[in-house]
Amino acid sequence: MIELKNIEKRYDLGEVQVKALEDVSLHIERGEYVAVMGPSGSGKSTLLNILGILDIPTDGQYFLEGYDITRLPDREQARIRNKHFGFIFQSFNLFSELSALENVMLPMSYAGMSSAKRRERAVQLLDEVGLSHRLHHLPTMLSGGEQQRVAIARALANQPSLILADEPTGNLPSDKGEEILTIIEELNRRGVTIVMVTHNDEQGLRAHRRINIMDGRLDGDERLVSSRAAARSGA
Amino acid sequence: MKRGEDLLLSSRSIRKRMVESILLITAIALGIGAAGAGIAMMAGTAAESQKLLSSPEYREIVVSIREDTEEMDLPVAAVDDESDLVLTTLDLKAAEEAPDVQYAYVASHTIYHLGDFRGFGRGQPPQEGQAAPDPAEMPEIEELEGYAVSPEFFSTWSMLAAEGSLFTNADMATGEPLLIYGSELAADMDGAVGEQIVVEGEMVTVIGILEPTGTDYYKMAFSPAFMPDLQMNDMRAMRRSWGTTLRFAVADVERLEEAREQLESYFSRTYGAGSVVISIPRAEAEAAKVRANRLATVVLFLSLAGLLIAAVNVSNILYGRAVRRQRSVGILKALGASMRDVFRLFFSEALLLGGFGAVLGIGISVLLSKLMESTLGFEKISAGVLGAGILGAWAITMALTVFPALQAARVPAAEAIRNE
Repeated sequence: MIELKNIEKRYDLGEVQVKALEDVSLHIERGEYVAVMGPSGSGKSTLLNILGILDIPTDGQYFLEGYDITRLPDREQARIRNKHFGFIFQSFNLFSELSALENVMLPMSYAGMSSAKRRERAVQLLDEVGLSHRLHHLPTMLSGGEQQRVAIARALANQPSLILADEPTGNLPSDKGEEILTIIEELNRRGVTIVMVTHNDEQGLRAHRRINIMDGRLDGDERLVSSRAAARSGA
Repeated sequence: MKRGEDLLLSSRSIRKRMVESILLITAIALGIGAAGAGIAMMAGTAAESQKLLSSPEYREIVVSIREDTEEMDLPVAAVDDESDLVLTTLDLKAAEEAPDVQYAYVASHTIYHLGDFRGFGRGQPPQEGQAAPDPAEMPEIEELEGYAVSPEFFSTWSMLAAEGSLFTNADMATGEPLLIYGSELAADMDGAVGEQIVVEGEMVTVIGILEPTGTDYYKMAFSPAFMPDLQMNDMRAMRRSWGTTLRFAVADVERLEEAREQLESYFSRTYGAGSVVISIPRAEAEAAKVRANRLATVVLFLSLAGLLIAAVNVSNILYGRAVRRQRSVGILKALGASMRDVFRLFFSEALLLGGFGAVLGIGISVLLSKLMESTLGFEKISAGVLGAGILGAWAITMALTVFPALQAARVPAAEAIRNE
């Protein structure tokens, strides 16, 4: 599904050049559950941003479903992010001026879905994450766990094939974090590919594959369980 | 993204930052209001100047022996106080020797004192054997402003009688004391054709009331100009004739100076050099027009400067707002917004603020325009000019909001998300 070839990301900070990623190559199959681990500043989030085409590599190539999407026009990048990817952030990143329902409806508006369909699907998604009673609440009226569940519902709005989660439980107490992980794992069992950045070893061990990043380089790529086997066990 | 979502997010953003939004709307309104009013003033001044200079009065050369500049409201050189020269309708024949003159008439500014003041130093002296009246018993003087004119005056100004008739040369030759009311004066005085009023002890017959003229003449009275065959020892006639002003009009204003030289030649030859004052009111009016246009230009400059300052501030505040919302931009991009979508969202917000500001700005412009109409005497300022001014000012303000919207759209998504 995803193939990165010799990806490099450098930042020019005046006279100094910082290498955030160096010669990263990896292949992620459809349906995998990948944990990206590594210390702070190692390049995990940069890798996630490149995977989600929120950032463009300085060098190397990015193939999605066999197509080179390394350098696409802005509108095409936006379309891919909208249709194929779902993002879950550590700090939820909901729009505080919009209700839970409106937040979930937002990505569907970029997909050109009608208002009625957006509303119907948003209600269904919020129901699936257990928030049917919080449709019209603003994010400030929701707990952290509820906000992250709204964010998950939003990420699923356009039925993405890949969920990119950047420390999704980082801002939550452990019990709420567990609820979120359970939802994410359930999504994976349904066939959605998950790439999750985490600091948490325990969470890393729950993934089917663990990629370690150290100083911008791929430091380890360990398959904990085959995705096919995991899918079978889920079924 | 559909317009509905743009508007939803924009309106929520405005509501969320209410104080800042009110300041933005106020700045836009003041900028648009000031610019609209400045443009209206410029257009109003230009129209007023044009109207003023197109008046028949400013195609004329005025010949007088008076030096009372305040009364005549004309720039004149000093004349010989000792002169006993009296100008009469006979002097209109000067026009025959001035080929550039199209027509000539008499119009001498006059104040008509109503009532009988004989014995009080006005009108005729007390008759023999009659005791001098007590000055304390002198009746209150009521004045009418007007002109002693020759019949050509009415045709020159295209004045018609709404009631009764106008003077003819035959009327003037009789020396009968006659009067014509302007339309508003007649209404004020409740005057009627055929009535007789006492003007400085003399019974005067009102023979006509003018149709509304659209000039200040509608509130004035008109009497026949002095005819040369009247007895010069007639004190009333003498007094009336003392301020006789002859007016000579040209067809082409470019020929005013030539016509003035032709007339000067005639009067110098007839009465001696410097015996009469020959002036061109248009010269002073044109100087006044230049002054008014310069003043309007200064006001326009200040109002446009105000607009620019307001627009730059609006742009600056919106830019600050865009910087503060970088993270939101990043999230929108993560959700599938393109640069164009983000630009449209931020520009929609600016348009919404600009819309509210424009509505208030229109109110301010209209109020200031009304103020100009009432205080500067402008005719109704064209809604088209005002509308174009407001639209232009709004467009300038909105053009400056493109920059912050573009800045917001251009921020790379990953960088935007990193910004808290």
